[in-house]
Amino acid sequence: MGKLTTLIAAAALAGMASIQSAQAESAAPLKLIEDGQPLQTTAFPKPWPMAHLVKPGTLTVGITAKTPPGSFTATNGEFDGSRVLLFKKFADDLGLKIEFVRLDWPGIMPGLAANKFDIACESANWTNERLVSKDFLLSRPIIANATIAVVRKDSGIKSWADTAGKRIGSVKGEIFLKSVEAEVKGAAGMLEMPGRPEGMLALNNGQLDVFIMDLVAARPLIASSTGGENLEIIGPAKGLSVAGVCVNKNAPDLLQAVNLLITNYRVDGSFAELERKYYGSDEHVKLLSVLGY
Amino acid sequence: MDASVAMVLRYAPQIWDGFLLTIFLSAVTIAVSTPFGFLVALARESRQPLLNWPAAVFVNVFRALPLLVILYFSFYGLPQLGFPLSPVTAALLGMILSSIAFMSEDMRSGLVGIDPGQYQAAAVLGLTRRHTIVRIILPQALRIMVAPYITRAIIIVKGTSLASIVAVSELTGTISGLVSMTYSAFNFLLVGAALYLLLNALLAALQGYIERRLSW
Repeated sequence: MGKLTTLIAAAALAGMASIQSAQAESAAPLKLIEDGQPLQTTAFPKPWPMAHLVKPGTLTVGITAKTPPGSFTATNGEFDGSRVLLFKKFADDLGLKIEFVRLDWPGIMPGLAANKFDIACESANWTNERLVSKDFLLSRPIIANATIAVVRKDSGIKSWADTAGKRIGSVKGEIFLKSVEAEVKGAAGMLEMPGRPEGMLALNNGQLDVFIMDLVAARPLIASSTGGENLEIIGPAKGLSVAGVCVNKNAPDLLQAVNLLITNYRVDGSFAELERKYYGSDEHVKLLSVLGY
Repeated sequence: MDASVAMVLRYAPQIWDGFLLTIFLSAVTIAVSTPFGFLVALARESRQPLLNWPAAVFVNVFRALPLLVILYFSFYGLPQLGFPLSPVTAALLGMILSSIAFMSEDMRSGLVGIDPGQYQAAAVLGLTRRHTIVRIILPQALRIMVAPYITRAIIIVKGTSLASIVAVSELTGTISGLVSMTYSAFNFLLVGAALYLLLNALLAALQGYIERRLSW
């Protein structure tokens, strides 16, 4: 009995499915998007009443201004860079004034946790620990990134395998080294550098043979470093990751708004254009599509 | 267990390694700077221009330069002159040079703190200058030196935190690396602060012990 019922039910379902598919083929396709309709979510409050800003009516942004070309101090003393302009764009589109607070990196996360800024981080890679943090909220990704190595051209290092027996370094606290641990396991020693400029200096000084960092920042960094002409990038890039910005944990409304705006900038290409202007390429923004962002 | 405590425990081996490196850097710096600082102090008090002049120049140069600048130069600058140093060697070199300069002045203040009448009295009694310093002045000067000396040692312990800028992962370097990696600040900073407090409390206890031993 049970078997027969199952068979009948299966036959009935199959029949219904064939009828439905026939209908779908004959009906005119339903248009969800009219021609010329803006491909953006425009239905959001302007100005967006933010209830939890550190300073009402103002977006207070914590930046290092030390990660060119995303964030730096221009010769006129103003903060500049694609991520600085991204923060300004957020403020403009939300109808808020903007105020930058410049701090070195060790002060940024404690400051955000202590409610000194509404938003911070020029780009924060997603990690398990950061995604579950109670100290701040991570936005949806603004860029995709991956790990590469910078070496001296005359070092003879052409691949990950050649790093065996070499002295490697990376910036203290950056996550990029983790994704190539297997590739560089034969390395002779490991130095934690305080910053990227110091890493380039140590490479040129011969104190390091391999400097592990992210692909997006590597090209502009090499181009702007003294002795950069002696350096080159080796790959293949490993450990595809995504990075967003950090939002104050008390401001879920700001996170909501920022996520919406990041999506809009993805669709209209305005953030990609900023990155192209400052980083010379926007492939790290376009790559997000592969990951569904 | 609280998540932030669990996170600290997960990275405890790394923090411990950083703490041991801080102890190592402090111990070597103090151990080397103490005799050399003393020699420089004696040299500055010497009546020989060949001794007191170079000592004065050394002290006034290394006392004037920020430790950060000395460290930067010893690690990033010396290789450009053909002397590549390992991070720990560069850090020790910089910290020792700076500490000798300061320590020698702390010790000299002990020496000059003794009433000059005592030198004259010793001379009248027919003691040699060397004898005067070793038998009369030093026993009194040591007592005066203890507090500034231990204070200097504590400053050295805290000064090791600058070594992270020359790629030495001592306690502060390790802590700030973990803060950057996890974006979790206060739990790691509190642990770091507690460890410095512990180390310097031991030095303070040592000061009390020495002062009791030297009192009369």
